[in-house]
Amino acid sequence: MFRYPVSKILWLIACTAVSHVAISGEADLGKPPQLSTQSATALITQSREAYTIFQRKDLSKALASKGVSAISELGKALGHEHWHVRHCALMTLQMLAKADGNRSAIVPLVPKIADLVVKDPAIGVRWMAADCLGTMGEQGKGGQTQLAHAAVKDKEDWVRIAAATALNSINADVPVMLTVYESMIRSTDKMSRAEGISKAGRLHEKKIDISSVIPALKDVFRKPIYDANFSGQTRAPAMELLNRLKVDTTELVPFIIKDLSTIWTIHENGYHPYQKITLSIMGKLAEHGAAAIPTLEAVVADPEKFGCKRDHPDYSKFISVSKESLSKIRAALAGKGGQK
Amino acid sequence: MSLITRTFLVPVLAWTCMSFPAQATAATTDERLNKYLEVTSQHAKGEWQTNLGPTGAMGWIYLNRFYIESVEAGSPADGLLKKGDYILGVNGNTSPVVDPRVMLGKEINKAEAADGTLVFQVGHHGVERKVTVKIKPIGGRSPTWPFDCKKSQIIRDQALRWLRERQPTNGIIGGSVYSSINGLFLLSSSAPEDQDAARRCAYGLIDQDPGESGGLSAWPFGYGALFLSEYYLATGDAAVLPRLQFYAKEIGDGITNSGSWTHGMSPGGVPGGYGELNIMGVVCFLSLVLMEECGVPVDPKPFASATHFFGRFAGLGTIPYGNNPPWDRSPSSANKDAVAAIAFRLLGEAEKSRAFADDTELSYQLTEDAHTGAFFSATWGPLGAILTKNQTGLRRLLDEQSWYFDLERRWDGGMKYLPNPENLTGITGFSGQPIEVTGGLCLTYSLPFKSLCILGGDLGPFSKKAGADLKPALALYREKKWAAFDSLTKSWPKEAIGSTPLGKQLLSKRAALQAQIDWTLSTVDKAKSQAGLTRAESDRSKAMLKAIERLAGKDIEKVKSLRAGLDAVKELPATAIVTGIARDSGHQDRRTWKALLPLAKDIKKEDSPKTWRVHAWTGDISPYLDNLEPAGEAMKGWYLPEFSTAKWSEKKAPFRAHDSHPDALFAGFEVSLVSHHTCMFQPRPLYNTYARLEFTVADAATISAARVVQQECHQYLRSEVYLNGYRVAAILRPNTCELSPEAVKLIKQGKNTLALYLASCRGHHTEFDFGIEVVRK
Repeated sequence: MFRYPVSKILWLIACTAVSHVAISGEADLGKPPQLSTQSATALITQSREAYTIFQRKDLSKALASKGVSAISELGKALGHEHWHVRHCALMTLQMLAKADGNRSAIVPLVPKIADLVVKDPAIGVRWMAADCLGTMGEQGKGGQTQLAHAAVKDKEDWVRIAAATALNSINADVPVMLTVYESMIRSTDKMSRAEGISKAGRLHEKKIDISSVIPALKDVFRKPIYDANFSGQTRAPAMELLNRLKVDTTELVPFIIKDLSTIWTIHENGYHPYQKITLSIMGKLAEHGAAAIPTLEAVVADPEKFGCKRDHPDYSKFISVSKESLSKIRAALAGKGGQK
Repeated sequence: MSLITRTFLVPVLAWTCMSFPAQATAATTDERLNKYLEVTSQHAKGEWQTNLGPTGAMGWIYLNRFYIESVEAGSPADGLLKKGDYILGVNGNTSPVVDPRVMLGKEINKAEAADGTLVFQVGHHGVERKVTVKIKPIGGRSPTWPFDCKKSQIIRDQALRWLRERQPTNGIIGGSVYSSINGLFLLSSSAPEDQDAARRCAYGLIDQDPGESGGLSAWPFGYGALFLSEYYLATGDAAVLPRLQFYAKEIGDGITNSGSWTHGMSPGGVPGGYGELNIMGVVCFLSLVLMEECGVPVDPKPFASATHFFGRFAGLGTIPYGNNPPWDRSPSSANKDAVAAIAFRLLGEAEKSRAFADDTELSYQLTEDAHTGAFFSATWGPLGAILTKNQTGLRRLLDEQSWYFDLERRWDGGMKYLPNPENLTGITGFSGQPIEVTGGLCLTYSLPFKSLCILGGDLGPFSKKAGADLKPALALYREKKWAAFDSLTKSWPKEAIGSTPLGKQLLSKRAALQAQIDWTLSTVDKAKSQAGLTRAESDRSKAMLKAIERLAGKDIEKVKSLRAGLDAVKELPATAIVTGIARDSGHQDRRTWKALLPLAKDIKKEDSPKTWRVHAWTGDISPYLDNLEPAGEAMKGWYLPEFSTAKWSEKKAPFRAHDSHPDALFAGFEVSLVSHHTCMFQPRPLYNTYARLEFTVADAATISAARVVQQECHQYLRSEVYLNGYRVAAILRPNTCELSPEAVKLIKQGKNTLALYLASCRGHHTEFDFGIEVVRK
């Protein structure tokens, strides 16, 4: 959107004008006039016809500007028959919940919101309900059970991930979080798996014992899923977390070597980026990677044997990644005094 | 930001910046920046030129100026504007501080509404002059365009003719993807000559080997299926059904596990490359919806999977790249949502269709940073937005983009896609030749006719939804048993089937088919009776006869005599159609180039390494290269030899500027949830790098030519090259760029400074290097 600084400046001016309008209601920018001066009931009624999230956001901002006085109406809106209205109400509650002072007024609605997390037929509502509970922080802990259920069982990955994130935000009980994250790491859905690994790592950063997820982290290599495209990395972060946990990963080497010959169905001239990631992961084995050295040397000697043809644009990268991994392993082994 | 800051300080600061634009500060070094660039920029050449509307002039844009690169023979600007001219203003309006395209597009419309006069204020090597170019006064856009708009009608008619005239005998107009889109546009017209061209387009497609799945097959399969489905629903011509069955199988099998498609097919469900490419995936989805309507067997599993994948975005944000959450920060989808709006309308899911249509209508600012740049935005946007109930919003979208619709128009009736202006990173890998884009960019003008499903039309009698009472007649139609069909339909009771809407439509289609046959025979007959035909005209006539026999499903007696007549006509020499786009001469460079400043890959290991001084930052695009102040650091004159790079880091070549994750880390998202493709269509950081290197030249006097060479540069990298303080080249993508003779003279004996500004929206995740090669006297 911002192609040039000047257009950015113009945008800033526009933003200033919009925020000014939101507060004073002085100008008409194509939105319903004087949104913020309308009653909460009127705004909620309008949300039924707000088909896009952008329109509902505008309504939510106007509703949120009314502060906690709108909460009673919003509570009723949570039971509305149309998902637009429930979604808009939740979005408003989430905006309100961002201010610490408002949360206690929302707490009575937590059971209702938690119910929506697991029962609402609309994905957007379940998702926003989970987000909303997360924004409540510890005061949303009444929704822990429903969030844990959604994080594991919801059929939509967006909801599962939002629920898992919310569990962290509400400071859920550690056993609950670990159970959820372990389940996510074992998921065959890439995004869930990636999020499970990431969130378990966050717990570890907080000095929480996450050793119960180690078997699941190892299984990431025993039962790998395709993770070569840009979003949803699984193997690399799993190996990094195992390293941080100081886990001996020697037993995983055969699986990672096997990964090099994994034939996924899409190929680029017989070579697949998945393999490049595998080579990079070998380097992350560090001092546990001695058994990977012969394979890496073989790749450096002749990448074509591993499917990477000489005319492929990534040919040189295939070699350089292998060399990098080799030197990482050798350096780690040298550091341990165990150079082969 | 506090309210006070937001309300007062920002406007004051903004106004201050506006009052003292960066250009003013650049004036002192203007010569250094602009002296050599006009002749060495690689942006301007060939198909990457920007079209200056129906003037016939083409060029490129830097900062706020159009630089003329070529003017087409016979066009309104022929002999008036010339290479090297730059446009300072039009009709008394000075080029705005940024992006002069909007102003010119609007002035073209105003001129066409009046007497067609465009008065350009033109500069050339510092000398200014006025140039008056007269374009055809075809009228201005009506307030309701493309509805009730004479100008829109003229543009549409001209474009249809333009495509017909360029259709080869094999029927394929452009590559198979673009031919399908062109075919859709031709099919949208009920004129017999356009129906004939659309038919030959369809037959050309089904006669082509569809190729193997994989690679980039989602594009030809998706658009091919879309065109042939619409063709079948419009004509009932069963000749295309076998190919549709092939597409249905391939597209169904090629869906990813998540429910979309990548550039290619993903048998087994595992996406290759960078995952789901929804700008194409949503077209594959729409094609499945339409193929199902054609009665072609579609596997219900992928159908349901895609319906779920795309349906879940409805109302929660625009469809993103990849298998990612919806984009809810700004309405900007490159019109994936427009296609989804059409698909869900056909599926009868009104609420979802409305949500996508409203998203589209809100995306009224043209999205240019997308696959193919703005082509698909401009092609699909109005088609999806028309389904909104917010007429004010629809109007806003059409009016906001009208400048684009005027600037893309060529003087001869075709269209030319406008690549991003030079200020941007040139992310699009699509040059958009007229033969590729004319049909797509004109579909909007066919909206008033509702003649296709994608234009808001009904499914018609050939849809599987047709009632049981029509089935016997439809079976005869498909089998092309016309006598039996006519006999059956004549027996229909007047008050019953024949008076139902679908029954009436079926009878009208049958009448149209006969009219098509009659028109073709008569047209070829007329052509044959001319004193002479060119080879192209003769071949086209024969192709028309072949196609009409195929449509009729039988040999037509009169065709034989017409063919014989065509063979007997004296052949005239061919007349070339002027397509007019200047191409590179393509002559082979036989000079011997040797490294003056070698690339790292060519430096022997035992020699000392080549080392750059590098300063990198991530932020917004900075067009004013003389006044860069990234991250609060004083960067003024960063390319001048005397500038101190003491604070910059030292990097051994080849160097990687940014050590960040290759995917753009965007606004607090976790890498696992977002890739640069998620935010490809949204505001995103630009990776800026400044790199400098000193090198020594021993024998400058012997250098007769010089060029900049690159190593490992990513295709989305844009670079500006400065030699001893002067900008000597602007390079898009990893090209080699020869310097102008004047710039070569900047290379001096002894110490020289090479400075680079590199911009990429994708991070610099390759290790790259720059060098100089020279030819010696």
